[in-house]
Amino acid sequence: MTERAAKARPRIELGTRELRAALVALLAGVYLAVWPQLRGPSAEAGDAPAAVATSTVSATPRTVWIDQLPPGERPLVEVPAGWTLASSSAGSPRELAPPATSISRPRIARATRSHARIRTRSS
Amino acid sequence: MNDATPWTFRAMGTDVLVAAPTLDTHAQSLLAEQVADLFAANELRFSRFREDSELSQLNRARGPCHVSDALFDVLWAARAHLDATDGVFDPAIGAALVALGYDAPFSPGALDRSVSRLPPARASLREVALDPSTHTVSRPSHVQIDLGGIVKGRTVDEAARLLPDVGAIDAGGDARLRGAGPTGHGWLVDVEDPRDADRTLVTLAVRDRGVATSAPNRRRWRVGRGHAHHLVDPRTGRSARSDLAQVTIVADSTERADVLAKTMFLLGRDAARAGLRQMPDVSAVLVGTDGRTELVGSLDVVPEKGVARA
Repeated sequence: MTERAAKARPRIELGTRELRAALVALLAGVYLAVWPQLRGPSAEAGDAPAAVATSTVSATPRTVWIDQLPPGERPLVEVPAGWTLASSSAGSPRELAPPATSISRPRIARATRSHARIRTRSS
Repeated sequence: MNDATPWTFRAMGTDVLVAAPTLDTHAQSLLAEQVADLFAANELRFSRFREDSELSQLNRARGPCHVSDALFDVLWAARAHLDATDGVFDPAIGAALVALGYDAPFSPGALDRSVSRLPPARASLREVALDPSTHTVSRPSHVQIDLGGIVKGRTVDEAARLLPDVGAIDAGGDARLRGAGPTGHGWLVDVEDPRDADRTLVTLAVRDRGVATSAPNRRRWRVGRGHAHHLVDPRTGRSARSDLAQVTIVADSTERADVLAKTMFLLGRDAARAGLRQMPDVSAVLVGTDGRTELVGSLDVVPEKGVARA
């Protein structure tokens, strides 16, 4: 039986300079890969202009519910006493169900005393 | 000769009396039926003890609600009374009443409980937005409305419009008296002694006025080692502590008498006396916890017993 000696693993001998270069190359590759996300969208030739998220003065005044604005952007509103700010989620006033249409009349009878003499009682 | 015996029925937790001595029996009966229907309709709409009442629905609703003309008118009137009394009268005491234990129609012993609850957050009808153009009501969730201090008197006034020139509606002491009574000398009003229901302190002769009384003695229940009663002070959320045991008001309407009776009770004797002197069209019988009875304003007393006139 022939015994073969274990094949030695190939060895790559790297010096310090080679290691440093390899590390730099690795980092550069990672940076290039994430660079588009770091830079953000950019206009290239032929692209439509990016939408500008700033208020513009248009011919028609805009209306916004105050509670739809972010809390930090809501203007301070002084509400007169007895008033409350309505909520945009409130929608139209709700209708309450009407009372029952069939009202039962209380039983009516002659009083026991002959003349009405009012006696005060706490109501 | 007509039978002058009044007609009676039960509504709003009390006995209601309808007297129209100048009408014949059939007309009296029809009148009593109309008045009974009116009381039943208002109880159905305004009772906080009925889950299906419009008031109870409003007290549960979130966001703005469109309410009936009848409910809006009562709320609007209540707001006017609140303003006129500088907030001493305020119907936003529903949560306070429930916290005290008044969460069901009163009957002796039914509301007794062993522990008390802290009063809820202070509430006022001022916090409720009332839009008269649309009859829309926007109520913050912590404001629970109780109309017990105004609806009965208001219903009596409404019913009194059905009366002939001489007639009376008496709903458990909230009364509207029209004309000079069955004898022509005024309707007789016995002011009960709050310490002894069988005793009369003073008898008044009243014409074309509304009468109402506030006192804690009849709607009172045990809470722990103490007691609570239904006359809640909206400023504290607790049963009012007063040096008055009873206030009877005679005014141009029963609704106003109802509101002022409670207000004066909450204010106490000295402030009540001062406030009443600002209202020359209102008269009162003030009964102190010390037993002293005072008459304020112009009252026609049927002489039977001596009382101190303020």
